[in-house]
Amino acid sequence: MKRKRGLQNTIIILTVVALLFMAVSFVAPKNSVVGNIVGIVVTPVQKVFTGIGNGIVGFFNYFGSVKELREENAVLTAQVERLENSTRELQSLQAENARLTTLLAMKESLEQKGYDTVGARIVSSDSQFWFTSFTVDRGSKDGIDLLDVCVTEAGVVGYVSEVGLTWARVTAIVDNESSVGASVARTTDKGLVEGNQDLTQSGLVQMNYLSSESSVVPGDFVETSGFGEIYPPGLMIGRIREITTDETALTKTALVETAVDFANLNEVLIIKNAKQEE
Amino acid sequence: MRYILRVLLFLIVITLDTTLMPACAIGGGFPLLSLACVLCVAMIGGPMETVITGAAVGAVLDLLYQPIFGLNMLLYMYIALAVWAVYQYVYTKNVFMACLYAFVGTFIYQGLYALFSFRIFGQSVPFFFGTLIRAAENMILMIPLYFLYQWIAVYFHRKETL
Repeated sequence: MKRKRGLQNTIIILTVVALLFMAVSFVAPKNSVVGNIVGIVVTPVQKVFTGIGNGIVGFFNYFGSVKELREENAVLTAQVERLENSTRELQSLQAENARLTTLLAMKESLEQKGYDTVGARIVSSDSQFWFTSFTVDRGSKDGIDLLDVCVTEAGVVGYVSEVGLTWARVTAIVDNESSVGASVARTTDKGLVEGNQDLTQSGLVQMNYLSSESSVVPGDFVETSGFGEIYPPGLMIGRIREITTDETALTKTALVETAVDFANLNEVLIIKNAKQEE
Repeated sequence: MRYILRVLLFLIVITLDTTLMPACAIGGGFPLLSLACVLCVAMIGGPMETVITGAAVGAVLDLLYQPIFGLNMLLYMYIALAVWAVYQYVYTKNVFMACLYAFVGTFIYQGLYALFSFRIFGQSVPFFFGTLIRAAENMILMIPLYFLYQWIAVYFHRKETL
């Protein structure tokens, strides 16, 4: 009985409280004192619930958007791959541009000297790593002839040893069968630069028949002398690395580091009829 | 300890009710988790427990849904009390009856809320269709809640008798 009365009292009190709240909500305008007090009490509670709620919704949204994120990830991965490819292509084009720009400068410089030149791209090589002998994409229809000289911006490469209508084979100065009349730029000492199979992979050629009286020293520049039937004078061959005196003591031999990097050749210039211009 | 846990549980329920439930809306209506939980208390607990829980949960909802202050408190308390009172006279007490009471209780709550909102404050809410959807959703929600609350009640009862 006592328990029942307690329940009744509780119900009555709570009902009165609820009705009082409703009456206050209904009567008191929002900007009144009562409205303000209610707002002061209610706002922190709402803030806490909103904060917790946002966290929960954010948590579920995270998992809800996994599929979307995966799709976005796939799209972005593909985009990254495309961009990486573009970057590689761009870098390759930049390098090619730099090479061609210097080659063009070389071409203009040679043309100022009265040489007629044509640019060519290397299409195949006999060796996988060293361009001792290679084929270019220009031939007799471009005016290329046998014994025409092949150069890059760095220096002399070799000469045309075979020629077809649309192609030509170039024998490089590092080839065993190649020999170039050369002189030391500082002392004008003459010699013969020849390829040597054992030295090719080190990017070296041998300069033979230097006079024993010669005062050449390592670091001297070597260029074509113009002697012989192929190369015009003044084309850079390389720099002397080492000098040895022969057993007979009549001549000296120098090891020359080629100016051209024969491991990385892409484009060359071919000087047409270089000797005739002389 | 029992009461602290109950308060914490209902705070979580109200938080979910105001945040996660709207995200689960089907056909424009979303379940009223808090009402379903209060009805669980009414069906499993005692009258005082039912009245206080209904009034307290309603009051917190009123704090969150201004300006109809006191309306949820009143409706939750009386609907819970009514469900408790009717449930005392029902011979079969199982989950199916609980679902039926959840449907009826939610329908009445929604109807009264719409009536009071419209008459007193000039507000209007989509009534019939929305009310049916809510009631149906609460009916489905009652299935896991009934077993869960029963398990909790049994757990605390055992703990207290030990």
